Amino acid sequence: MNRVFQIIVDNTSGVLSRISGLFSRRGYNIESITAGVTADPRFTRITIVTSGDEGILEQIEKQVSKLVDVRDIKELKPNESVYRELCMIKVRANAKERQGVIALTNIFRGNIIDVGRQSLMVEIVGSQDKVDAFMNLLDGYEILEVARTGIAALARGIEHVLYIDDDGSVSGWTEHAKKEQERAARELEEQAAAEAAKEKTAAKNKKTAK
Amino acid sequence: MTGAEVLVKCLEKEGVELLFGYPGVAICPFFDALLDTQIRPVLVREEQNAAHAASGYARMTGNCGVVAVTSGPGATNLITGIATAFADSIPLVCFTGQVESHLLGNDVFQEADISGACESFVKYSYIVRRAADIPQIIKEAFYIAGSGRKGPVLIDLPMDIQLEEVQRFSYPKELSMRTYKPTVKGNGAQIKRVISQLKDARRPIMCVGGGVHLSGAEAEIRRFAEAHQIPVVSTMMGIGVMPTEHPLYFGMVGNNGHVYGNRAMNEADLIMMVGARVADRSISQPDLIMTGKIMIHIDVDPAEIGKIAGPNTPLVGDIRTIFREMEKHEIQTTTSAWLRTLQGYKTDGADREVQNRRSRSIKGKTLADPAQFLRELSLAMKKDAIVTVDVGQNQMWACANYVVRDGSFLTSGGMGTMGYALPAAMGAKLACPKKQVVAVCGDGGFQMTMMELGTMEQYGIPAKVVILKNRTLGLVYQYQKLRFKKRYIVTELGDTPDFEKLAEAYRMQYFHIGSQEETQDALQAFLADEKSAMLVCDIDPEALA
Repeated sequence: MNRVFQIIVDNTSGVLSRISGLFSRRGYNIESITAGVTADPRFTRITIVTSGDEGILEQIEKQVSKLVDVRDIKELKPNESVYRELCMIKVRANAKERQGVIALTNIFRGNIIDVGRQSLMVEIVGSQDKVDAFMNLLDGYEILEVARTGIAALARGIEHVLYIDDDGSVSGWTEHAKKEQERAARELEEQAAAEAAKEKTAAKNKKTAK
Repeated sequence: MTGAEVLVKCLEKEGVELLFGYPGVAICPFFDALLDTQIRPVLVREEQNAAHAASGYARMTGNCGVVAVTSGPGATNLITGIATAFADSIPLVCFTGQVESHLLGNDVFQEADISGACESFVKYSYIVRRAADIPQIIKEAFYIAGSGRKGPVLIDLPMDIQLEEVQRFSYPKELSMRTYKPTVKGNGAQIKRVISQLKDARRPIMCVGGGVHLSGAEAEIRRFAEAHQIPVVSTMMGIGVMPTEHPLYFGMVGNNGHVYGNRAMNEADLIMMVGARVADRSISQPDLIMTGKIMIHIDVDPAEIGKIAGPNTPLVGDIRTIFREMEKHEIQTTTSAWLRTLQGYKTDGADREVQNRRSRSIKGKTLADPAQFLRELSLAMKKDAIVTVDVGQNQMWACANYVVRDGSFLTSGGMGTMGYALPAAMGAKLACPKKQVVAVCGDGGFQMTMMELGTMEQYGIPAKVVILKNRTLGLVYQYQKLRFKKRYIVTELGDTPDFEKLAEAYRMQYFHIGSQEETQDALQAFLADEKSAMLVCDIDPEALA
């Protein structure tokens, strides 16, 4: 069974080759790998689809965690996450065949993104199953070229969001919420203290003015 | 201030006193800047040996060993040394010169993608892009190399970066790495679990590995074993954690280990692996150490735990810190019956060994018996002497027969790199000038690094070299004998050079053992003074390790 890992790494040069090199030299399988910058430009999110028994998956997590550039690795379980893949398919279709392809594309909520005299290019986005199903349905047509991006994935909801603080520590949502509360409390205290100090100096000034 | 000047200043801040290297144009600015510092460079005769020497130095000082070589062939020659250090988790910081940044990737003269080539056996590598980044990089490099599971870090220095002008210098006092935070302290709950499992165990045993040395936890382990009367075996890298003749020590385990050590592991009901990897050479059947036993695995690297055998109790952290914590707990153990059994196995094994030796000598062989020789050598050496052991038969004999008392036993374990002993002995001697240092090599491994006699002579490094001479690459020769029905190929060294003349050429004293009877006298003379010396001991090529 395929498993999806989300890896958050420092955006250093060579980081992708370090990760993929680790997979190849230790004999771990890579079904697909995608990488892109996160909301915070210091970091890159890498999504790797891999397979193996429990022992291998555990080793993957541990060995990847060991790389100096890696901030966090987490498995994105199917029931708690959303997977998406973009696929571009060039189908051979003359004027007569076009309508059939377009109809299929519409059913799958894909887009026709290029039309030629003898071909159509379809863009389809979805889970890997959906993309596979669409390709299967194109059975009667000649598929000329396919480009698949590999999946990108995110965990559902706010519970799995990772926060990376300025000092680099990674915290989950609950931890982060706690930290935020503490920070707010601290700020309130500081504010109160500052105000008290202000009043004091104001009172002092009054005194001296008298 | 140039990048190179910044760099050497950083090394001073890190307390570097000595480095091993070999120059070339691409690293010249660095060496030039070194002239204005107190840091002593040692010019080796080949780059690989710089890494081995730095490894010996690092293992004896506990600090990072530092290496600097040039680009291209200088850097690629270093690779085996880096891989050797990586396999044994030895902290090194290696600098390689590199062609100018704008030429990178153009296949210019002496360009090699060294960071790419070394990727799978460095802990981390840097290609420096701006001279201003140097202080941060050096601070990180020493921290990464010397913390957690230690290992080599590579820093590739393009020529133009070494010459780049930097406005001002400041060395970071503290370091907070965003992604790298090794675990030091053991988890409290896990420690409690270990303690309670130890209480319930009837036949506990500790198997100690190189991690104990790397953590500097030898004293803690000895104290723990003695306090709770727990027997100890070791892997090859763990030799020396316990003195060989300690009543609680039952030898080395593994393919080439002691029978009684392996038997002790098999019959135990609780095994504590401490700073050991469960590597194939020490535990050839990992299932066996799991069945019917409780296995506790203590290591600083979480990825080693469960990689080969899934422990019942994993405990991640620095070994010294963990054992200092465990000492605080009260543990009642009753192991006297278990210890008696193991003592019985050990006595049996020792008796058989003596018998074997007798039967060998009855055969009328006059050559020195290598096993016996290594035992005698170790007993003739000073109590706190350092021995570096090469790879092959000499290593097997040394592991089984060398008696470690207060000293250290250094060898290349994970990688099994021939030629390690001589340069490592140089590094160890430079680290501990007052200690006696002896390199034990075969005539094969010695000829791989004998150019370093030149370095020893130039810098007056009085290490001593023992060569077990059987005119073969003994361990492979033995393998061909047993596995390939004596079809020998490329394992015979011919007549070998005249080592006496070689010693003379490098102005070393020379001693020779041609027969068993000469052993004691030759050893006394060889070890008598503080000068460098070579001792060649002829042995039978048919002797098995």
